[in-house]
Amino acid sequence: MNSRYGRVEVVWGKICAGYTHEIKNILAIINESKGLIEDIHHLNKQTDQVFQEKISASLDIIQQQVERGERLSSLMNTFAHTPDQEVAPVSIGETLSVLVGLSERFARNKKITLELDEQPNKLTLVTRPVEFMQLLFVGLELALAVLESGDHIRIGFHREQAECLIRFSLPPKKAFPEASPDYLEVMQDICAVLQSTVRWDEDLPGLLFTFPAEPSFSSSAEAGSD
Amino acid sequence: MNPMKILLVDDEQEFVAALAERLELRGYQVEAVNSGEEALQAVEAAPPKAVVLDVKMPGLSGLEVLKSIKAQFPSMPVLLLTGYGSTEDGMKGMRFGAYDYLMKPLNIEDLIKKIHEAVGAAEQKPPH
Repeated sequence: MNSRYGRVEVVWGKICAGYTHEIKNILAIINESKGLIEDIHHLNKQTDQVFQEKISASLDIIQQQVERGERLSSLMNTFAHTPDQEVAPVSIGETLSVLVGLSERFARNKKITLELDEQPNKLTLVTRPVEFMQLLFVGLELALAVLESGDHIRIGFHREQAECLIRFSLPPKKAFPEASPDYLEVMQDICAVLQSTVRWDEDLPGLLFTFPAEPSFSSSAEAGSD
Repeated sequence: MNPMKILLVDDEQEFVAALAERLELRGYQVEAVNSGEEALQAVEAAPPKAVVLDVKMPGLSGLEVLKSIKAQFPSMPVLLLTGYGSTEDGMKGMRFGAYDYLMKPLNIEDLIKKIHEAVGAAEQKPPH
């Protein structure tokens, strides 16, 4: 048996990644079938105007939903490949894009908006991808748990000498971190594994994650598929 | 003028049937098959002007089919269809002689444009 299957997240990731392909195939069929209806509809000039407009409007909705499904399944596919390697170089921007994209629903349910800063430069970090994603997700969960409807979370990152910094800028809240000791405890445990730190930064204000740009993890190459 | 003949190869029957009909509505002659094995038979029986080939298929994979086609018909233009995890296969396919690869879901106008580019490029190449 392949030893990488000893990690539970590898099994979950492989199943999820495989099914994003199935979803993509379904979307491709819907897309082509919609295109065919559109083609036939354009050929039929005898149908009355109101009927034509209704069909066009419905086809537009199908198109929008195919694109929405495509975007989400693409994010989910990237997410599902997170466990492919135990230690690997990860693009911070891409990881945050996936995190924000897949967390939009949770934020929307609380009427909180998420914004990821544009980054002109690629910043890569050698880390444990699963725990890295876990840490950022817990940080975002913490923020969503204590913020209120109408609030805004701005996410950014940069490199400062030998460290990579990720910031979740939040509206000013008194006793923000103390309000959620469980989240902080979990994050600190994950930080210990990642050789990183997380703290409440009064100047942001918000959560500030710090990662060594060149940590000393023992690497085990484990490529996934699908 | 005879319509351009295109061979579509994908194991998703509904996908390939809808795409074939859309291309036929635009004046192309299309043969649609659902496996690599059928694709090789179709190419041998009546060589098409271009092949549109899914990379991930049960049985003979798209890349294996591509290699067989190129061994027999080196100048036949082949376009690959890829998914998320198979863009690497798409690039590998180009090293094996595929003209290009496209991601699903497709935009039919992009596909037609690529088919014409591929056929045009093949016609400009001197015969082996």
